[in-house]
Amino acid sequence: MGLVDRYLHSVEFWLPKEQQKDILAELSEDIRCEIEEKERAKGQKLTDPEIEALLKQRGSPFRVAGRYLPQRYLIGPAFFPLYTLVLKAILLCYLVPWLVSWVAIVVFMPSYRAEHPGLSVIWTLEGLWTITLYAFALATLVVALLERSARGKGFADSWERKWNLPAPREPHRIPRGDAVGQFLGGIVFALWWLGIIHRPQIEGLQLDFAPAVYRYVYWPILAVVLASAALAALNLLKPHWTRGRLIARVVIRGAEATTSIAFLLIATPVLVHVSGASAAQEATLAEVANWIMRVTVAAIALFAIGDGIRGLWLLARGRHVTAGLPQAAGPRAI
Amino acid sequence: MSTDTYENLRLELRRGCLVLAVMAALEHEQYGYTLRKALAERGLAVDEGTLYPLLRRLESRGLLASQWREEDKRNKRFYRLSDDGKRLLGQLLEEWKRIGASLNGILGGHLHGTG
Repeated sequence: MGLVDRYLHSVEFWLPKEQQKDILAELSEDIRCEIEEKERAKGQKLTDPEIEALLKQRGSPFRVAGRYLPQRYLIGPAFFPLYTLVLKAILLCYLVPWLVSWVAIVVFMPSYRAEHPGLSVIWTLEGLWTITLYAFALATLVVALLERSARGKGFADSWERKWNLPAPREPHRIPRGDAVGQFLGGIVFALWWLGIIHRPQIEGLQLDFAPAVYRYVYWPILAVVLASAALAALNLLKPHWTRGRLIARVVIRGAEATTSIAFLLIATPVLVHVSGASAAQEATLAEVANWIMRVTVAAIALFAIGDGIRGLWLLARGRHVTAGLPQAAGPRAI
Repeated sequence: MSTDTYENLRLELRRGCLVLAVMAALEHEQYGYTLRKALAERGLAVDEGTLYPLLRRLESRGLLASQWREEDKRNKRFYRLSDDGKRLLGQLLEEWKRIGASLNGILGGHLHGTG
């Protein structure tokens, strides 16, 4: 079997059965015509390397066969935005929270690390990957089926006014809900922190902060929370970011992140005493209480860092009002 | 601008023209290789991986008719424009003229280097 026949045989493998003979006959004829023409020009037969170069120019058999096949796709352009939206939702609502929780457990629970020493802790994520894979596969299947059932029915061709998304929010406007939530949250936290509001008591259980908390972070945390509540109150009255308030936001969030990180650096911030419980039971309870507290404070630190960065971004982009009036929007690209 | 972008847009621009050129060239019967040569000689080089699938698509839509025949002791597939193909070619040429006239108006300045 010559070089050309072997090439054609490779193309044949990728072609649909019912068209193989026909396509190969025509392709074979085209290749032989080209070889003959080159041989006439050269005045002698082409060598094997010359024929090989000629076939190389035509491309791999896989590619050549592929040109004869109709274009096929699992998810077409009409449904692709929906598909990516579903995948992002899975990523953000399932994968990211689970990964963050897993990292928190690994970092803040020594007993978990002791149970899964070294790299074996990675294998505890096995279930997460399996479920993610199934979720992605299921999303692909559902959207592909949806596309097939909607194909040719003019889906997504029509438009109604009521389908419009809500108008985009002004970047310098402060949502009233955010300001109310931050103000009330800050006040309630400050009252609890000062001991004015008592947490529900469980008989026999005593929870308190370690002396290091009172010594290093108690007053700074209170100051930051009150500053944040004051800023939220001001935002409630004048719901547009000004340059000054954006700077205050960045400074307060920076202080929040710093105090939260300082809290996390304290070895055992929560002390637990349970009357009548054994030392082992008390230690387990202390570990759980400290773990919950650390995860909560870590979440606060992450929020503060994220919100501070957003504040910096708004400042850098000039997304704030000047002299109490929103800045005029610049020319918009079409 | 990247070379890829240029190449993609160039291919896109050529794709529609190629159908018209192939249909016009097949008013006279030809087989694939001679058709390819004829197009290349007129400045529209097209590789076999594009031409043969295109011929099949046009034939499956009834615009071309083909026939296997022996020539120079070898079997070759000859293509020619069908009656439907001839009618459609006429319509496409009319559209081509309209597009050409519009484009000349739009590109006039650019084509004469004053745009």
